[in-house]
Amino acid sequence: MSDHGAPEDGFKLPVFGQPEPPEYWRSAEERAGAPAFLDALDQEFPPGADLPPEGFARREFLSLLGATVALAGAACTTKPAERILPYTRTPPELTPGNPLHYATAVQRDGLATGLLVTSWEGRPTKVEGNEEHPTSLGAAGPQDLALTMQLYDPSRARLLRHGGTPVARRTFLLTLAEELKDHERDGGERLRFLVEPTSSPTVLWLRDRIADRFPKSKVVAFASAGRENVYGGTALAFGKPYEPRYDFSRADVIVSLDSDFLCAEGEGLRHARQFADRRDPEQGPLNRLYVVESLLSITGGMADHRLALRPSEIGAFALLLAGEVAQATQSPVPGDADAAASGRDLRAQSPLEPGLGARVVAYFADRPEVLKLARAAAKDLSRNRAGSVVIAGRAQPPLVHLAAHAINVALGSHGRAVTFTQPATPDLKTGPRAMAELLAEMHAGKVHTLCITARNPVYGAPADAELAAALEKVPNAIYHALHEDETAPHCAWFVPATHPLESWGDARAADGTISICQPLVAPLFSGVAEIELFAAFLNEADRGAHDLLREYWRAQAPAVDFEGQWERWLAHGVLPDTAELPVTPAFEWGKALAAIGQLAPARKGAELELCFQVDGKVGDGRFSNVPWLQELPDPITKLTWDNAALVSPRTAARLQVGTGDVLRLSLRGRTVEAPAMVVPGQADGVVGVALGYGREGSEPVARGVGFNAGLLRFGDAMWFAGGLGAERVPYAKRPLATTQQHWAMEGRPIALQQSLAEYRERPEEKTEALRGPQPTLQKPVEYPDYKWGMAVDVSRCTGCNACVTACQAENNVPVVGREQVLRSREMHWLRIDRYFQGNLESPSSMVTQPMLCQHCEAAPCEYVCPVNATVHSDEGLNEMIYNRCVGTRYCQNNCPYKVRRFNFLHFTGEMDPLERMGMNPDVTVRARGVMEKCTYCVQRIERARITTRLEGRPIRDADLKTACQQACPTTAIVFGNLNDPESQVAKLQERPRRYDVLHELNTRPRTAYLTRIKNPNPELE
Amino acid sequence: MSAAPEPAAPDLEGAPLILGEHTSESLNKSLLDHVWRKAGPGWWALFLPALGGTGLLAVCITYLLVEGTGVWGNNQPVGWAFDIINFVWWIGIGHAGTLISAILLLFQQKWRTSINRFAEAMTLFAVLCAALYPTLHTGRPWFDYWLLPYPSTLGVGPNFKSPLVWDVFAISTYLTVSFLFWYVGLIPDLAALRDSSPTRRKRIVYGILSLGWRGSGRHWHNYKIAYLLLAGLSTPLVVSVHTIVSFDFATSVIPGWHATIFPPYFVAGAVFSGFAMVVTLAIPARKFLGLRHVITDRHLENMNKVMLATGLIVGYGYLMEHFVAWYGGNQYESWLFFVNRAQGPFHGVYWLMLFCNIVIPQLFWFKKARTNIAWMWIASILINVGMWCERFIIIVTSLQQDYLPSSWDAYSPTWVDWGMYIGTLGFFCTLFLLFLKFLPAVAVSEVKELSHELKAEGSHG
Repeated sequence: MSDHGAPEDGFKLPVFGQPEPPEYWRSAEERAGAPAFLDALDQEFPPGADLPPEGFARREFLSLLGATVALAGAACTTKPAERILPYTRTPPELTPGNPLHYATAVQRDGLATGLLVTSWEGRPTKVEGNEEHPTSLGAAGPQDLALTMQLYDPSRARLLRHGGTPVARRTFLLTLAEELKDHERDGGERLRFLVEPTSSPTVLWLRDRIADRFPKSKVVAFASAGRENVYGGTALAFGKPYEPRYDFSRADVIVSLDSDFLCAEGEGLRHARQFADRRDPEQGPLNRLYVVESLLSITGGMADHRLALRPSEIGAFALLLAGEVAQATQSPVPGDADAAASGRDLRAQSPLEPGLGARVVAYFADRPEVLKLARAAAKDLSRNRAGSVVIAGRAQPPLVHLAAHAINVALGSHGRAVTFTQPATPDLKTGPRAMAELLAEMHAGKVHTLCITARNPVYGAPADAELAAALEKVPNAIYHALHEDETAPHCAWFVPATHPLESWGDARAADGTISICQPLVAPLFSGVAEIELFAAFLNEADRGAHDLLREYWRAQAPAVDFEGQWERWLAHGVLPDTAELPVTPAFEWGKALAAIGQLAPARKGAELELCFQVDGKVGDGRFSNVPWLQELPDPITKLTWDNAALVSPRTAARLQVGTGDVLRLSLRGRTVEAPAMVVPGQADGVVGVALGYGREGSEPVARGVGFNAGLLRFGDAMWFAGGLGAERVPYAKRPLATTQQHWAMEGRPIALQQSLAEYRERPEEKTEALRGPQPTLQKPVEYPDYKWGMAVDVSRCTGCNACVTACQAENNVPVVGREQVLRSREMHWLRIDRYFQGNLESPSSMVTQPMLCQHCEAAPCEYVCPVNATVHSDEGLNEMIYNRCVGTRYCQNNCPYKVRRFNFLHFTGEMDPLERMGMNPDVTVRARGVMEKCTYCVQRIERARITTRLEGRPIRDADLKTACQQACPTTAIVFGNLNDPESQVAKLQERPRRYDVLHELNTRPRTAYLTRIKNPNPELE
Repeated sequence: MSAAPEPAAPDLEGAPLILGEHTSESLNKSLLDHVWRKAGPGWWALFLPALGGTGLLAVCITYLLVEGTGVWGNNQPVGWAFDIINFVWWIGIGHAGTLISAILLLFQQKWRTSINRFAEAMTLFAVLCAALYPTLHTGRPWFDYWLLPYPSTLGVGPNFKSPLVWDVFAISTYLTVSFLFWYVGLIPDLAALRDSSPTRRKRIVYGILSLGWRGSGRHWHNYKIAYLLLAGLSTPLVVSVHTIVSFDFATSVIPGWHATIFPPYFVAGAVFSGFAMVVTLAIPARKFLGLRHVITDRHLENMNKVMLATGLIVGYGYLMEHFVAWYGGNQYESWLFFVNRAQGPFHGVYWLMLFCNIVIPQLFWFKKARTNIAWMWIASILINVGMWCERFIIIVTSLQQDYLPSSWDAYSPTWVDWGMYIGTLGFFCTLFLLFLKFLPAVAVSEVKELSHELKAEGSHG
């Protein structure tokens, strides 16, 4: 390497209090002159010694190539940690300039989502879903899609440290090995683990071996927003926890009890796909969705009937529903022989008593709409027995889950639309109760070594757990994380973790399917993989994650051709036939009925309830430092860079607050100040707050964004709590950066919605005036070859934001920050418009509509550009030539869809070299003063053109997907060639539901929309 | 000079255009005197703040160029705001000059003579201020030359379908012709200044500027023809410039912009505001420069009449816009005119616009109002405020809430927006004060000619 100074854009590693560090140094410790380093010096292995003994695996080789690029970007005068391989002999699969795709997986709540990651010469830039993975089905959520940005986060922890001193990895391992000898003597009585729930077979194998070595050690799982209640519910129902799995492709009637199953809960991506496939009136019967929830969720937005109840009332509603179902199943539907027969059947097998709901009928007596909905839903469920699903949300206590399971069993969907498998992860108890014992031990000083892999427990644990204080009593706490967050300062050791995209691992999906997680790049910083950390407790960390992983899997699969099999596993991203078979556990009616009866109605009264919400963007705070996600508009509130105290219009009036006023929320003596935001569709008397904000760790992006709602979280009220005090702080204001200000459609034909009955009767009634040619003086232009077009099925779109992040990642769309969003200068090429229908006090429904460049054939933007910077291609693309743009913004003014985005400032200017690595090299990074907008992923069209031209055939559907289309869990977005009658988009654009937005302007958009179909219950009309 | 009794003017002709008896020498002296006088404290008191404003403009422009368009309040959907508002406003102000100089010359309206120089200078400076905005409002002003049809090796030229390219031609033509017209008119007076220069240095400077004018018959002959030709050339410009500026809006698809009434309505508005600005400037100028005898109350009254007439046309424009929005049944336009503008976030500006542009000029129906100096001065300022509000309403509210409610957003200007606006006002005043200091504010030769003509008429009558 050059011995000259760092190039201009090189970043410097931090210097630790040494005025004149040595110019060349082997580790941060040597630079800092730390004594620990000198001890370890003679044991230091040469770099690369931990590589697998059998030589380079193909992946690893590429990873190292990645390191070359990474460290070239990170140029400083230190030697690279790994061997750098020059590019003199190119690996066979690699053609410079052509990206490669690798399968991997990430875990959330201990369950895997399979991904495909695009890598350019070892530099991952884009995450996509793995079609072969049962949870992904080819789609990915915004958090998955933002993994690359998290990977290239320059504020990630880089140094392993003990107290304030940077320490070499070796020193850490040696010190730990010494400590472990002590622990071995007493069987690990003072050794504890606080772990992130995991389904990784290798990690679990290592944990088992640790338990063998230290029989008295204990593992406690913790997740701030885990799925404990889900497993608690199945444990109550079946005596043993199971993973409930819902097959929404078979579900005709769905009742959600506060479950956001289409997005946030469990296998959201699969649920969304299966659900959406049943919302297409041209493809079979529609399902019907009833949602009972407190805060408006994505699932609630898709509901045919929705009821907003306080979170504490959901249980009462479950009880009511159970009673109504019992009633409905006992009185067979007249004239329906089948139903009658099965009704008799059910009476025999389900002891659900019709009187069950009697207790709560009185409670809801003053709200006839609740009783009416429960009755109608129950009748509907009992008409569709095998195809009925009642699903409870993770915020609801296990009893509500139990009630849901009881109804499912009573209806007979148990084993059909609702099945159960053995949980993929053993870490099922993730709540504060599981941690209580550990806390007591810590306070008592009985824990010497505590290894924490749980994500930021000091921030995530309920405020009354006082974990930080307990950690001070643990002399040897080891914290393994990506960032020096709120937990790090309380732990003696900090071990920087490797990012999921830079570490080897394995994980299981909810159905048990196993994936091997491949790294896309060698660790950018000196990170330690989770497998290596656990292996350190067996003195095997030096073997490296890759070696350990292969050892485990070699033992599991004693095939003759392990290497071949391994390669296949890696290539596909899933191990074939590893899904668990569904089991049909017996429902314990006796205990269940007694328990369900305990579902007492909430205390009536005017008191406020606090309801916590897992943010769809930053999660429980683990994604707070990802700017893409911070700037992602919330699907419901369209809020960015903040969380807010969400209140319904009526509650806002009662509290005398408006959006942007500051509320002081107090619960059991703790207070938090939060800006209020008025959101329609929310239950009255409820204040909704999102977790994951108000971070105080070292992450620069996350710091100071929003308020920490977790401060009001108590161990016995992790999801909702009554007795909330809320008062307006006089004169205090906090403007909220929302991306959509006006929430009503004002009667304009923009996002259209029809009921199924209307549609069946006259399919084209709403749409016929909104499509087709209009009189014009101009001769229409012919597009003989390709004619690119898009169809967006609003009936399928849930508004989950996956497309927005996918577009941002694919097209190098910059993040602008809160101030600029407040000025309405966000850059998203694709936005999701969300409209409420009915009055804003209590809207009848919510519609989402992805809005992107419509690629009008008669584009208003084109003729007004004075310099020909936006022109039409011969395939009908409205193209933007950044080089030519002078930035008059006339095109933006004249765009009736307002989808053009202007670089008001140099948004891409202050990028860390590390962040630059995440840019897609196929797409220009735009400079200040230039207009930009959706290109229909023209770079992907051109790649497909190259591939197909080599093969001498035209581009077909299978060759090409736009980034938004690819990410969409519900396949609501379809792109392709309108001239190809076989293409899906051409067929969709012929559907009777098709219409053009602002058709009367005769812009002839290439993006067509399909109306949203609602399937309301005629009994509730 | 003998103080002979004024010849009783016939009633139909109105008040006299030149007060008192003057000879060429006395007119020369009184009209050129302000150039030779040392700048008084009054001039400095006006000039220094104006210079400060120019400095503020320089600061704002520098900041804008360093940081980017984002230092303004413009956003999505309001892509144009103060930049284009001020552009249209200044261009509008620049209209009176050409109208007075050219059209009134062709119509042989004698009363134009003493105010034309003034109005032309105002035009020129206003157009300069106006031109600043479109030049600087682009995201990358250093590439503005791409709007010109120069032979480019890139093989790309401007898009002649774009009204912005028409703007470039319209404004640059207007600026050129206005300058020529103003300068040609100045030549005899510059020569008069040369001839009466007290110092050698001044004589040389004015000598160069007067381009060798000797006042020969041949000179006068050529001069008259050139002046008439330029007048003919600039006459269509009066209509064309603001018509083309209005095309920026009228050719778009945005409700509130897409209207066929825009060209005449914009031209009338421009003349309206231009005359208001002339009145605003003429009243103090004639007082401080001692020009009451040539810029008489009759001049001011005539200008007020023009304001009344054009104000009525503007009012008709407003009426038609609203009528068509209602009668056309277009829901987007109805929303814009009856909800967004009248009740929306900027309804205050809307009602202020209607008050200033519709209510205020109605008072000019009364002769008392037309001849009351204080009142007309306030009214002229209010009219310019109203016309600024009109451009704000047209540009900002139309963009703010167009077709899809999802993209509607708020707009608020930043300090740089205000700074540039105040800055251009300062720049305009600086140029105008320099003009008053160094050049004859009234067309001396024309006044002398008029004076002779009037005398001749008087002797005949």
